[in-house]
Amino acid sequence: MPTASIDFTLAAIATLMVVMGAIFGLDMAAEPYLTGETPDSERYYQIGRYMLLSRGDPESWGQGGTPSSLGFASGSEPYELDTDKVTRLNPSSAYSVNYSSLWQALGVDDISFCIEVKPLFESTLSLVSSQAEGGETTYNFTLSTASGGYPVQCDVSYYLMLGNSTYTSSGSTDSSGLGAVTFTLPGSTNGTALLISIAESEASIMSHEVLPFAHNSEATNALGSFATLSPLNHTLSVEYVTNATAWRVAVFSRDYAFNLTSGESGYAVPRLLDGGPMVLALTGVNGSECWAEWAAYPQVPLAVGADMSDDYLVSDVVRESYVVEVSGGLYRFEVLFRSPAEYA
Amino acid sequence: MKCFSGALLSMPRRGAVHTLDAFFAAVIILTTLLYASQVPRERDYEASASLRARGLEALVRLDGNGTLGRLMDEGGWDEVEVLLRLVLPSGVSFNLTVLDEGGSVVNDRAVSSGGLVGRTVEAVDYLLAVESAECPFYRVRLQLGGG
Repeated sequence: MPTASIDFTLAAIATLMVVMGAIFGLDMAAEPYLTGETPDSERYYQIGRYMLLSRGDPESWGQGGTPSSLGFASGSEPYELDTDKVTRLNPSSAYSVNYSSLWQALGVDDISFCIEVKPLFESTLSLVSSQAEGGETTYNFTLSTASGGYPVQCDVSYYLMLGNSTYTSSGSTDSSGLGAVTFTLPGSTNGTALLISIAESEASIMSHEVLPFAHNSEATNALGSFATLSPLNHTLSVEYVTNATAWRVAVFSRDYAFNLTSGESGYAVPRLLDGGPMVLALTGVNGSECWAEWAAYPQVPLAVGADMSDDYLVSDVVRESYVVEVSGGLYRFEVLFRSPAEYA
Repeated sequence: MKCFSGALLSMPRRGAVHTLDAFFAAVIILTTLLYASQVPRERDYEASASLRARGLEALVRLDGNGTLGRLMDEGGWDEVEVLLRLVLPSGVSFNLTVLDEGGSVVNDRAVSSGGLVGRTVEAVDYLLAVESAECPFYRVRLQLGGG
C-alpha cells in the first residue's frame, strides 16, 4: 500500500473524528439554550397527560368493552388511575385491550406509542441455597430492592405457597437494599412452590415479586401451563388449560393473606383499605406434583404497544414519565412515543 | 525524451488522484452530515423540557395521600429524601427547601440527591397544608437539575 494512501486514510479518519467531535461538542454546549429541542416533546407530554387525566369513553371501559376514547383516570383525583383500565393493558390478561384498539382510541394518527407501568422500585428474589436434612428442606433466599441502582430500604412481607400450605415471614432490606429469608418445607410434598415478597418503602410505595421454585422436583411449571388467572372488577376468573385439579386460591397483600371462595362468575377479590398490590395465587395438583399459577392485581408490571427496541435510525423515541396512583399504590407510568412522520 | 514522456503520463494520473480526493472528501462530508443529523438527537431519552412539570407532578402526587405533609410535620427529612429519590426519574437531581409561614427554613438538614447536577436547573414552588389540629402551611421549594 503506497505511503500516500496510508496518509490519506489516516487524514480522512482524523478529519472525520474532528468534525464529529466538533458537532457533538457544539450540540452539547448549545442544547440548554435551545428551545423546543425535540420537535414534538411538548406535544407528546400533553398527549400522555391527556391519557392520565381523562376517563376515556365509555368512562367504565375498564370493566369491559373496547374504548372509543383512551383515558385511564379513575375520576377521583388527578393522576389516580382506574385499577381495571390499567389491568386491561396487560397482554397476559384474558380481558386485555390490544394495541390496535388502544391506538385507534387515542385517535392520533401520526404517532405510535408503547405504555409501560411498573413499581417505583424493583424487587429481585433469588434462591441462594437449599439443604435437605431429616426429611425437610431448608431454602435460603435473598431479596434486593433498588430504584435505578439506588438501594431502597424496605419492610417486607414474605409468603410461601406450596399446595395447600402457606408459610409467612417478615423482614426488611438494609441500607444496601439487601434482605434475606429462610423457609423450611416438608419432604412429603413436591412440585412448584411460589415465594412472594411485598416490599414497602414508604406509605403507598410498594413493589412485589414472585419467585417460583422447584421443591423435590426437577423444574417449575411454566406460567400459564395449567391455568390463566385474569383479575378484573375485583373478580378473579380462572381459565384452566388442562383438567388438572385446583386446590386453593389465595390473595396476598402487604398485611394480609387469606383464601378466596368461588362464586358464580369467579373468585371475589376483596378491596383492601391499606392499598398496594395484591398477588393472587392458585395451586393444584397434577398427578403427584403440585403446580402453581399467579397474577398480580393490578396486573403490573406491564408493557403494551409498538416495539420501540429497534428502528432507532428512522425516528426518535421520546419517553414521557409520570407518577400515578393505582389502588392506593404509587407506580411509574411511562409512555414511549415515536413519530415516523418526522423523517417522511 | 524518456523524461518528457514520463511527465506527460503523470498528468492524467495526477488528475485521477485529485478526482479520488474529491470523491473521498465528498463521502466524508456526506457521512458526517448524515451522522450529525441523527446522533445528536438522543434516542430513547426522557424528555427534558418538563423538569418543572415533573417536580410539580411529584409533589402533587406525594401530597395527594397526605404522606408529604405528614413527614414534613414530623421532621422525617430522611423519608422525604427517599420519597423524592423514588418518585423523580433517576436522571433528575434535586434539592428541597421547606419554609414555614414566617419564611424561616424548616428542614434542619439538607434534603438533596447530593447537589444539583445537569445542564438545566429549574425550580418549582408548592404550597402545602398539613392536615392536623394546627393546620400549618409550608412553602416547598424544589430545585431540579437534569438534561
